[in-house]
Amino acid sequence: MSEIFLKSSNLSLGYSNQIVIKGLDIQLSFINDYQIIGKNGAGKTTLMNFIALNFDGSYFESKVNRSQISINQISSTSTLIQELTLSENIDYYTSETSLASEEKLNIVFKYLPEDYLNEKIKSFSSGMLRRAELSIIEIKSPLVFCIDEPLNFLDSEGVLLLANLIKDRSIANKCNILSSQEFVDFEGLEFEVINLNEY
Amino acid sequence: MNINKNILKKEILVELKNSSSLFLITPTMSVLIIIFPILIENRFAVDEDLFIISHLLFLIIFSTLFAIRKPIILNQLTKELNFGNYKKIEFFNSKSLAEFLIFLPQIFILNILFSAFTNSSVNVSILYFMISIVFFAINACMINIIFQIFTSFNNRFVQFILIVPMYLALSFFIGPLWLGLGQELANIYLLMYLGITIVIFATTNYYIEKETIQ
Repeated sequence: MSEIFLKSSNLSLGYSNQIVIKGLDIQLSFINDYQIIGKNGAGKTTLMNFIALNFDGSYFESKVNRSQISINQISSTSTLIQELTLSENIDYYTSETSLASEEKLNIVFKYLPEDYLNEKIKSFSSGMLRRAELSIIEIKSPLVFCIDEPLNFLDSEGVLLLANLIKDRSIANKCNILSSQEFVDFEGLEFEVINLNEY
Repeated sequence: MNINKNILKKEILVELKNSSSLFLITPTMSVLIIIFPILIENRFAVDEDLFIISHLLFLIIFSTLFAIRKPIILNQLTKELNFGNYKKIEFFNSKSLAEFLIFLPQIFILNILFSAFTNSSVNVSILYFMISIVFFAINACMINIIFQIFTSFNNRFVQFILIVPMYLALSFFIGPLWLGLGQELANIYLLMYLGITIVIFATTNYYIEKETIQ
């Protein structure tokens, strides 16, 4: 399998009459980690959504070569089902993984206290939601992991957990794509920068 | 058939926890109890057919309320399916089945209550009555989901305006059946209903698969 999982030239993306990204050449590989940086409105989230197949805009123009691989995204709003408990959400989102229930729970308890397991997601704080989503990413271990504004909602312990997750994934040759306004420095990790301020 | 048991389980769990459809049947039946005695008191004679027409009307009202109780927000759905690595076709089939399983007992209850409160009955055998209700429920659930995943509206009013004519069309097949048809004509009506169900299911599956391949 080729290391390149997404290649697109002269990419333009937008919403109705507003073009957010214009003429971007992009080539993403499994073995690298990326950071998309740019000021407000530069199109970080739009590009991230496009990479993670969640783009919901109305303007798109480019030739895209994309491999059929597992890509999971954590965006600024939670994807978890609000009416269900954490345990039910984990069952729903991680059903395809080969890990046993106990192994899954061990991973979850690294991120959240045990009391949260049977709590409904709608009672979670933003930070706990982020942690819950990070635990699901660790269980699923997708080939590509995209996270929008990675430091948002996380306390120092949460940031450390995120850094460890990214490091472990990087060692396992799995791609991490982060998007934020400024470069986020994770000690010991190298990122290729996609600077949207230049477009 | 591309039915995913996790999606099915999730949809039923969410419904059980929300109990949103319970909040629908109560006001519908309350209206029935309040309105019908008033209507009947002001008439010297009430034609039996009037009850059957009202029966259909209540079925359409209830189905519409059921359809708009929780709109699907398309971009959230896409994110959810991608996060769980589920296919859209699995979602459509599983959600349709889940909605059918939730909806069917409720419209049976609605029909029983209607007959009890109005002391009226339909002019068709119980078997044909049940088959017509099952067909109506399957099609109503599928059409609702098709509308929501192929159009990006998430406004309840627009959804209401679009879905009512569709449900009216579905009830046109039930109307003559309930009013009393001969055995052969009734069989033809049910076969037409079966044909429509297959066409809707097959066309939707084709378009979703095509969209996924592209």
